[in-house]
Amino acid sequence: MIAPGRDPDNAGYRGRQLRRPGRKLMWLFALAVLLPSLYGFGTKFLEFVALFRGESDGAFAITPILNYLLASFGFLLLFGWAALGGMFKNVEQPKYAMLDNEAWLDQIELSGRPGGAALPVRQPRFRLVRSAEELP
Amino acid sequence: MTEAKPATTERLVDERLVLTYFIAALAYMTISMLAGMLMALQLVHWNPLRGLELLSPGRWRMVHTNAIAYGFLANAFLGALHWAIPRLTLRPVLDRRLSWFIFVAWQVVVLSTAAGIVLGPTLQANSPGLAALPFSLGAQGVEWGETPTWIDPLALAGLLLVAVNFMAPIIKTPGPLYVTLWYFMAAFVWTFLTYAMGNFLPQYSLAGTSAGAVSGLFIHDLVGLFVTPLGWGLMYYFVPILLKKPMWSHGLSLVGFWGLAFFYPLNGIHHFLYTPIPMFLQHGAIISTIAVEMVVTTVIINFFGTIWGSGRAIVTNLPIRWFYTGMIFYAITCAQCALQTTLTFQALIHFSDWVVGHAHLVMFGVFSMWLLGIMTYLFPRIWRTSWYSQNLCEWHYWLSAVGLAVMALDLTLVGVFQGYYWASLQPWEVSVDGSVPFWMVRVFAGLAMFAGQLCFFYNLWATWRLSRGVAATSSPRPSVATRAPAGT
Repeated sequence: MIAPGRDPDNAGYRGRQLRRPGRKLMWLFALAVLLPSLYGFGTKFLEFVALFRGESDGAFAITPILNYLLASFGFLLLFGWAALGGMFKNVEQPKYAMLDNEAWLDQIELSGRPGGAALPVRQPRFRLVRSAEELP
Repeated sequence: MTEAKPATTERLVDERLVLTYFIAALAYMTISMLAGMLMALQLVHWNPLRGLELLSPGRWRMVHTNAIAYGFLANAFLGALHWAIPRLTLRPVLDRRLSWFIFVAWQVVVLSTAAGIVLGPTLQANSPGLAALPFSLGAQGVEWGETPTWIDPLALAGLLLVAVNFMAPIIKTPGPLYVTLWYFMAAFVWTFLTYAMGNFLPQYSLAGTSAGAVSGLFIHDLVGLFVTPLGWGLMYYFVPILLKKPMWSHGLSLVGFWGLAFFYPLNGIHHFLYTPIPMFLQHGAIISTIAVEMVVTTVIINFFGTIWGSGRAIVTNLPIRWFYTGMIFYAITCAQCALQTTLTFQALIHFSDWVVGHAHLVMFGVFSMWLLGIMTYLFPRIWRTSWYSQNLCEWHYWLSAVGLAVMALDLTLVGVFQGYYWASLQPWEVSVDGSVPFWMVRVFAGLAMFAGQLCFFYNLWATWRLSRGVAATSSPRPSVATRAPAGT
């Protein structure tokens, strides 16, 4: 069986959206985590700026912090792009598509296509595989 | 899976390149393990090469670490990526010729690094022409970044080409992306940036504590932002296809990925606790390390959730056994990490052999085990035959796993003893005398691990001969526990 306790064939599973109370709870939880974290991070960052300004040799701390901020900012942008681009909708779907593709490739390999022949053009079909027996 | 099958997906995966990368990786692993053995023998006063300047332990130690990181791990990862990325994206890499060029260029980088470490200083000191060069031919003074400075730009260019070659099929893939591809994309960017940061900033821009802080970031980011995303990415690909079932939760795997992205980059400074680096940076590193442990927990839960109900595969499927053994070692090493970064514990184990044991647990117990598992799966699959000997496969696994477990436990213990010797202000020699029995155990654990690899090499050679029909007809061809392609 695939993911325990889940029936991927159930349409409600694939397109499931959080209901309104659930969504409210998620936002409340997110805010409860994010606000203190932002406060803590902001305070530490101000400490860092004070150190950087207050001491002539305080600049030695700037490199690792800048490295971190640059890397994190880049990933924050990437995260935003991914979220807005729908990368997290149907978040479980790619794991089925991956197995589906792999089974398709194995099937081609076993069917003995001539060496070097081009693969047929194929877009991922996202067909859900219900059990191991379904894999060719 | 014993009958030869015609090549089919050749345009997608360059199987010859995958094999070539793996063979190169194993060659470097042999060099690295031999160098490690020499270091182990040196510590128990059995160094067979005593008095030879070019083969002095200080140089061999750097060969040991560089050969495993840039020789074995990098080559094996590149080989596995050439298999996984085209199959995940259903598109070949950007250019096969570029792939082969990168292969050759990377071997030049690794071999030049070894030559620079071993020969560089001596050559430069004894040759007036070379002595006039404005840069050193020998090792760079950065831990894990000993690649001589003149090779650094070449290595960085190579990493850029790797990223371009692999990103081309990934960016053409319509979303939502599978988690493995997220890990791979991040690894290509992170590795390039990490290498540039660690090799150029301390060399040309920074000095003193600032350079130390950046070196700390480099050491740890090399593990966390180069090796870890590639390793986990490959596990998220190989585990489901071998178990024939999807990951327990793809959503949770994405939590692991984004957690790594945001929490990992500040970790490295925890290597330099109690140094003049500002305490708020040290505390930041400690907190982000603990945050990473939570991320790690989600990943471990996800993989064990995936195998739940298929646990017998650990017994019957050798690659899966390699993978999950690596995951258990990973959980242990991350638990160690959480302990190590607390200031109290760090005061005890700093500079001790605990750290050496921890490093072996990570590099061999986790990532090498995963890569050896991948090789155990892919070699016979690509050669379209079964393993010559299943028993040798088992010996390879057990000697490696038990040898590593003994070595890690041994070094962890001696690390604690050393810490207490030093904390009690006893003379240095006392701590050395107390360590020698443990170092002796380490020699034999290392020998066991090396013997495991010898079993693998012989099995590999015999399997290759089998695949070419050269082996005698009476050669044993036992059934394999390694899985045939799905459907066979």
